[in-house]
Amino acid sequence: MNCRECVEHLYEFLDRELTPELEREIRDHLDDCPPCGEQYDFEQLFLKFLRARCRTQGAPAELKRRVLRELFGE
Amino acid sequence: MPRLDARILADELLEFGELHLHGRGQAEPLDEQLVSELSQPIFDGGVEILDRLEDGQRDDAVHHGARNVAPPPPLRNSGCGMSLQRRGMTNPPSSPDVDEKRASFEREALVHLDVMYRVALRLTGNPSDADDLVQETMLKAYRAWDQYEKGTNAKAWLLTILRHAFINEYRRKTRHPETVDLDAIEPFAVFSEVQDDDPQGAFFDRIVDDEVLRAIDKLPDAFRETLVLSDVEGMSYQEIAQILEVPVGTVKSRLFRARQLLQTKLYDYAVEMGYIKGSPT
Repeated sequence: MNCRECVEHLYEFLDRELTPELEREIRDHLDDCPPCGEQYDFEQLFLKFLRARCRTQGAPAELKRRVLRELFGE
Repeated sequence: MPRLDARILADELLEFGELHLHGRGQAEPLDEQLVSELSQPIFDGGVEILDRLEDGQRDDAVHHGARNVAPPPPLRNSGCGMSLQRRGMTNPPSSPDVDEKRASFEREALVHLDVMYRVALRLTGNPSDADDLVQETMLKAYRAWDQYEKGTNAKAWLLTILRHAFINEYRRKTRHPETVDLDAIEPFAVFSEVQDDDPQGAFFDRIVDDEVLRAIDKLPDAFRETLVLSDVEGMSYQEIAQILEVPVGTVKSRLFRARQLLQTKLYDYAVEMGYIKGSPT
């Protein structure tokens, strides 16, 4: 596993979408390669940030009432 | 493939094998607010067990392909030949059948109302259309509820219905047809740009919710829907491929480019605001 391959698979690794073998290879590479490790930290932070920023919003209470009314006549 | 008509019926839904999504459900965390608002006796019973299984995060099963589409279930009312509509008419409203249908719909479908709304909002681009789209999706889903195999992947099933409804009724009028050549978008790695000054990506912390959502809304449609399903709603590549009706490889490449493009937009914004030193890309 070289740096290029590692970076290429980084998102799949973060998304837990790799086979166990490939996942192990990436993990080993990240342990041994500080620059790739830094990029991994950066991308992981970005994904966490994205999730946190975008999930604060939920369905408005009025919509919930509307759906219930429509489905069950309440 | 034929498009789903606006007045979709349960029988039509049955023709779409991809709607019968199986595999491990990716349950949402129990929404306390929703629970209290909808109040008892709706969310009693086993819903906590289902919903606390995982926090929308991918789990170990993902890369083992556990969420493959299974063939549609057999017609379960073939014996009595009753359609949904006729059943509704022949049974009084409080019959055990109706109660059970409602209870399972509340348990498995209504708990995803927040997800439906967030996705609808990113697809339509405005709250009023998002409201209508969610309302319509839930109505279609309830009508077709007998076709959904209980305990499988309600979230993916609902999102498939939502997306069909969006394409048929909203995309044309709410957004201009896609004219962006996705392949022409040059990948740009923000990390290499900030590596020296801000390898921890601290500048992200200064960007508020609205700004992030605005940047997502500027992504090309195909990138936006992929990124929202993955990065906001935590769905697996396989689930996204089913919902968007594209190969898993396409999900992967769109996601890769969508993330890079979004990072670039946020980086440019951060430079503009003086959150980070650098030059716009």
